[in-house]
Amino acid sequence: MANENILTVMREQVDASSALQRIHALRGGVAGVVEQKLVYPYFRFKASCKIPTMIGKQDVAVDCLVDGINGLGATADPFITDKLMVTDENLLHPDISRDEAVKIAQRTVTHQLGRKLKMIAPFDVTLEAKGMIYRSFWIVRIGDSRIMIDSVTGGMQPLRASAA
Amino acid sequence: MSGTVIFFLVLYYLVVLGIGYWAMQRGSSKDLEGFLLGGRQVGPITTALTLQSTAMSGYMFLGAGGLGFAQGYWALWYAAGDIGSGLLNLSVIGRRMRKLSQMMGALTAIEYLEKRYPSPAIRLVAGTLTVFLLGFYVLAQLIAGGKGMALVTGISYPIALAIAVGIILAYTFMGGYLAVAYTDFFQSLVMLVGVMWILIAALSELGGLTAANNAIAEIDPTLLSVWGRGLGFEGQWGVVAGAILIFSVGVMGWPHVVTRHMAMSRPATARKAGFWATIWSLFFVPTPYIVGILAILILPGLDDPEMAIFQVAEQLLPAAVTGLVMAAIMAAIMSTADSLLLQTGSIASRDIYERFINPKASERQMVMVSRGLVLAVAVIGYAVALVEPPTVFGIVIFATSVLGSAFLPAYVCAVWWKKANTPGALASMIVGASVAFIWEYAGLVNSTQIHPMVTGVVSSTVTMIVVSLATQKSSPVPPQVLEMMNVAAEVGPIPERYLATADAGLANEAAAIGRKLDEG
Amino acid sequence: MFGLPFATTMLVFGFPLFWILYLVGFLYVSRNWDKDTAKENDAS
Repeated sequence: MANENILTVMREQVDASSALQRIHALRGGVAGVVEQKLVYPYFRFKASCKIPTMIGKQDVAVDCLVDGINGLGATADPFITDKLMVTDENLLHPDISRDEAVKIAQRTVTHQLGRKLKMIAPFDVTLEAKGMIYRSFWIVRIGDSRIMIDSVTGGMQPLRASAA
Repeated sequence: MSGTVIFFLVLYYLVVLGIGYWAMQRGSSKDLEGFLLGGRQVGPITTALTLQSTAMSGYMFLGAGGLGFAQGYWALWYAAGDIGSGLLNLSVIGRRMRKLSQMMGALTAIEYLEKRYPSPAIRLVAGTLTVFLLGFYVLAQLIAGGKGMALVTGISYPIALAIAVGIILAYTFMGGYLAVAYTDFFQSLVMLVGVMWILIAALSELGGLTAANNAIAEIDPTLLSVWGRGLGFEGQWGVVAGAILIFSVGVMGWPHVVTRHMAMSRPATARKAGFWATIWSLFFVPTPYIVGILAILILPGLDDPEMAIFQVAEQLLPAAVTGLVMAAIMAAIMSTADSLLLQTGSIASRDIYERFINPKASERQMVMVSRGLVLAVAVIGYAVALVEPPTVFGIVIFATSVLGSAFLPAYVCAVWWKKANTPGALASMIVGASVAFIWEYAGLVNSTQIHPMVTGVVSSTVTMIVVSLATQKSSPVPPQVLEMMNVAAEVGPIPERYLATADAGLANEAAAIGRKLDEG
Repeated sequence: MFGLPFATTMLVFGFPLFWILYLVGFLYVSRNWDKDTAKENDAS
């Protein structure tokens, strides 16, 4: 029943053994175990904006990602992508719809622009949907705790059991 | 004399525009993208200066100077708390609020309150209060801008006021490029140098601080005391407490200030920004008050105490420097007004219009609402400033007391107290605002000798505690919120060493993954 | 000092001193903030 999907992912810089090494460096001695690798969904958009400036309208293109599960939007630095084969059991499916994501992306970009440029202006923001992009996280278990490690930056975050 | 000043004033603006233009040109869209993505691009010094530069406003140049002139060293009670306001804010709620707001995906400080204390009522009350009170702040800037413009150019007040309002509106509607980090930084520096120059010129004119104080003692020794002219405030610790609290603790309740924590790029920025903000404040905060005090000797016939700093500058500085400094001061006032208007517009469109009136509003419609409100505030502000301008000091103290009283417990408890719940927050906002407002309006300061800020903050804090505890069972804090608070505070069963190295930027993903793993 | 009465001198110098001490304390207490070397990724 395991479906295989070919997905566009952010290029991994940290593999399983590097992930473990990072944990090891902290804990000093006790080994962690990589339980699984989870792939996290984002809606990807390219926002083309015309910013009014003193020297006419400047065209600015900004990548915008919308977290597929939390629905949080953010403008993004450029990143390199690869194609990866991922089975269903490692794949997290988005909880929000494409339409919701579009609205969130619009809102995020406009808000960022307004805030950064400190003006109230109806910027021309054109969103181009670029499909889904994924990021892999290593889920590592150490004793009772679980930690996730970002395969792109190596950043760590402890995982908590939510209130039962 | 006026001609030279105007010349340099205009020259200053051309230079600033030039910098903005140059930055745009050489920047090209890549840099602009970088700027937009930034937070990264803006390092700790610029952050601290931006934090502080909004404080360099009508209050500092008119209100503070005016108070120093009127009451002598008593005025420094207000500086006492203000010196630490940036540091206090950053150290107490900065980092946690940043993390919590990021996890909640809140865009405004008002939306943040609704996410933390889930209830539409919170958003409506907080949003309305903020728009109303920020409007007062804007009024203060308009009056400062108008009076300053009138003084510098010699144009009559109504027209000068109209020009100032016009420039502020233009700034707000078209601005943007003037707000690029470079220009803000440049302006802050010019201003700091300018204000220091005024101080030094005043001190050298008077033969030093000791000589000046001796001369003041000749006029009226009570001006050197901590109780004000004629010892008018003697023993009034309630008023003193208010003065200290208003610009220190109270600032943690200002939505337009705490909103900056949400934009902070990384926690470490808070540390360095706190450092630079304090250094800056140590020099800059007391200075306008002291110049005001020295003005007692330099401008004995001064009509309007709030013009003290401007007139000292005009009198003592070379015309060119006066022009530059005036320009920098005007720029600061306008930049503050612009910031406030933007916030007000943003809150009105997102937190009130989109949230309650038209949930399907497009971005374009919201921009229209923003602009509409900004125009309305400007027009009403102009009318009030023209007909019966209150003192800048009076307005700011009033607005600040009510804001601080209303929101301090809400923002502080949002990150520090897990039992702070929605009824508690709502009640504290309403009670705090009402008490401060009524206390001020009914002039109860005089009979009780307690500042509205003190009664306001005490009553809102007590209300938060009592109501939250009383309603814990009926309105508990939602588990997701508690969870997010734990993450923001880095508290829980996870060993310290992991928490210390956790990447804050991944908190949202971690929360989602944590949930999914538990479900599946 | 500076021809000021004692109370005023306390006001003028006392609070700045307080805040400097507070700053030092804060910098010490927060010395561990953000120790990680991993870059904060905007794409989150």
